[in-house]
Amino acid sequence: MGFINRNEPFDRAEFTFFVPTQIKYGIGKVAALGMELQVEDDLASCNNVMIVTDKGVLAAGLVDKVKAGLVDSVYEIKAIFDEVPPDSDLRIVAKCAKEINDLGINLIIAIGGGSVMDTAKLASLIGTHGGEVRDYEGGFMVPGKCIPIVAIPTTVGTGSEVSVGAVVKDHETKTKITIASPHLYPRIAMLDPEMVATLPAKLVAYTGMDALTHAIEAYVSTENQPISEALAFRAAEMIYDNLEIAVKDPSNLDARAKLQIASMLAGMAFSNAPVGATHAISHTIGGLYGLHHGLSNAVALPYVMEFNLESSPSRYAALARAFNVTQTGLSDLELGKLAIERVRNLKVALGIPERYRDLDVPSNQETIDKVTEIALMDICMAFNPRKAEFAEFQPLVQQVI
Amino acid sequence: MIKYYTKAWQEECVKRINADAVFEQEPKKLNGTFIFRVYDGPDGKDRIMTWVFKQGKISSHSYEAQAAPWQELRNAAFNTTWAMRGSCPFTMMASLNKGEMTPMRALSSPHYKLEGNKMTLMQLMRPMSMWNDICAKVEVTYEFTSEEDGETNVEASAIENPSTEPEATPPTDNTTESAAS
Repeated sequence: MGFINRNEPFDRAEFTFFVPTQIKYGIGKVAALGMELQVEDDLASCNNVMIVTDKGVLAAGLVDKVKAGLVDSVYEIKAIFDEVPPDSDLRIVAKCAKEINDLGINLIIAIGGGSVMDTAKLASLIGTHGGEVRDYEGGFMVPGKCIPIVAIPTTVGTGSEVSVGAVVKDHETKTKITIASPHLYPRIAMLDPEMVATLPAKLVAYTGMDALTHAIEAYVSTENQPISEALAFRAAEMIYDNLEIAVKDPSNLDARAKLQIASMLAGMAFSNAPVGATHAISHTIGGLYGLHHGLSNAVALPYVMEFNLESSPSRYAALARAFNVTQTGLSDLELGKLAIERVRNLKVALGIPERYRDLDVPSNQETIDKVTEIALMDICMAFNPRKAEFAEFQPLVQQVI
Repeated sequence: MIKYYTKAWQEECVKRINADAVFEQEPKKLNGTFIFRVYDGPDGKDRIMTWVFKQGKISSHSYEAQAAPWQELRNAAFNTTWAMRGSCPFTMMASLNKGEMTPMRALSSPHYKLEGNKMTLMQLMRPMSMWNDICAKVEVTYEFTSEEDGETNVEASAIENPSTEPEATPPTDNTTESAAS
């Protein structure tokens, strides 16, 4: 039996693992973007380019770096769509999709965090197949290929650059819409640590905790299997080792580069072993109160780990090793509790509030019941290791709020 | 009126599914064996329904009901050659059929057990939703004390099937009433 992972019976009769995104990594890599695209047979003639981004990324000069990487190439930037807000919604997607169609765009370069990349994915979908985002809600409802996307992450958490899904807000119902499809994987993920070098410490903390949530939830997912397990475990270890350093020492490019890679590993993991109850709660809180997704995940994560602990103690025990717990002679439950304690301590070290009420989310009974009911309808609950009815889940939501 | 989750209901569903032009045109074809175990019906019975699809058409189906708790059924292991097996109480299945409960809500419940490769099942979400929609349009009654039109009551059924001990052979996809359509 391994010291970290128990040699438990392999209880998956079958599984599929799929990530088609090509990953290109390098410090300063975007400077060679044109060349990197042109060597790809299928992208060589996709020269009507739209950049999808947000105003913060634009102001930080990161779009200029990408533009410089396309100078003297065959790729012409027809438009820069910089209207993506931190919590994008259906109206933004529709507007972006219309521009894509009006300009005959055949390649999208998404520069930003999760909101930008998910908006780009869905605008690509609507631009290609028409209709509205709601028409494709759920899993595998996208009928075919979409306009290719080159994803250049500027945060260290979303994993959307290699992920199967996209999440946006339905501004009318104030809920999050999740769409998963193999056609939403970006064609290329370009990881350049220089693109995250100036990310503010607060956002490093939030997005890094988002990546940690992806890694932990993929590791304990009902659909976990050895490939996702390897990716998720290594991601959890890299994030734990580097997140606090990356937040406290912005000049440490090594730590930020590792976070960027870990985020990508976690994205590959959760695309094949989907996330669970933390995301179900976080999607609900994000939809209702507009909290940053990473922050929202960070708040709920240790509570959900406690909720799930007894359903898969050996998994949480292994995570304790990823979080540098070296004690021996402890039971899996004891190790699992230490893993949760490490996550709580990391939250404190990063200055993340303990509960949602500390972030002005109402803590009355009506809110608790509403969040419980909506979270239980989130697709992510299908993959949580512990199932629950309202009466069991409500105390968890009450604690988190 | 047809009683929900009975042989008559399945027969009507099969007829409609195999005649549905839109379902036939769906490019993602259902293939394989889909099993549903539904517990504690209003007539005091547990039920198993099997639907075998070949290229989007139901090629065979079966149905069996026995007094609850039908331990043999409840304890039967999942056969890894099946595409999926769903198991839940009758009241939950009825809520799903009425549209009172979403499939997502059911999947978060400890009372709905889904077995099979969920990622593959997600890929089949569209044809499965269409299948579900066709079945949901069959007009049914959910309140009945006996599956038959006569007056056979729950107590009589229970006396006919008094055993709650597991039988030697677990039910499979073709134990009873298989019918090529």
